[in-house]
Amino acid sequence: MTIDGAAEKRWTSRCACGWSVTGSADLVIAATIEHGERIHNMAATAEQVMARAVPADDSET
Amino acid sequence: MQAEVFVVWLDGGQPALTGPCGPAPWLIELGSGDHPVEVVERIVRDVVGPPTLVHSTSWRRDRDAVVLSFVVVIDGELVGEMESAPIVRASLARSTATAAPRHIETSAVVEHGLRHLAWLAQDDAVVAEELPAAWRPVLDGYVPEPFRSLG
Repeated sequence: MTIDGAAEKRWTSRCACGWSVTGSADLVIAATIEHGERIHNMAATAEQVMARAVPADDSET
Repeated sequence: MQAEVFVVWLDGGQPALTGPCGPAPWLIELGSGDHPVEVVERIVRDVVGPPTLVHSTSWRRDRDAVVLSFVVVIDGELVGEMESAPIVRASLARSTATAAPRHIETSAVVEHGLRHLAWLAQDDAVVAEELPAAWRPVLDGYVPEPFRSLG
């Protein structure tokens, strides 16, 4: 699951509830989709997850 | 439509909020074909554990959706590592005679939910049966506001 070769970078995805995950694009996509379905009953696509994810370095400064 | 779930428990005899999102409202998306109570009960059971009570206590329009508020009572043993915060008393958001309040704070929704639960504990045989006895003195404090103001 790679979007535009983004898998090499580290990304952070944050949920409005405060939950977050940081890692490769594949990890962030899988974890965010699982979180959305399990906790919030929400379906999301990989594209939707990555559209809201931010590069991990940016998010940590 | 969304469910906004307030998971409540007794922390040393005091009501507290918890959940997978900590004390913050737990938002659950509801599909057009979903039964809200069934979805909330199922997801609470899957994520937190078997709830003691699940009750819808209010609704409002917010976040471009109809939001159904739920109070879910759980046993303290289910809290585990979830963050928790004590519930503090709050004023209710008041409607006009024919219109909803313009703004409703989360604390007002929780206050309304616990007042609703207090009423159910007296009026609803199932709630009276299922609600642990330790909740009774807590809910006794959630009396109608005019009387509380006189206290």
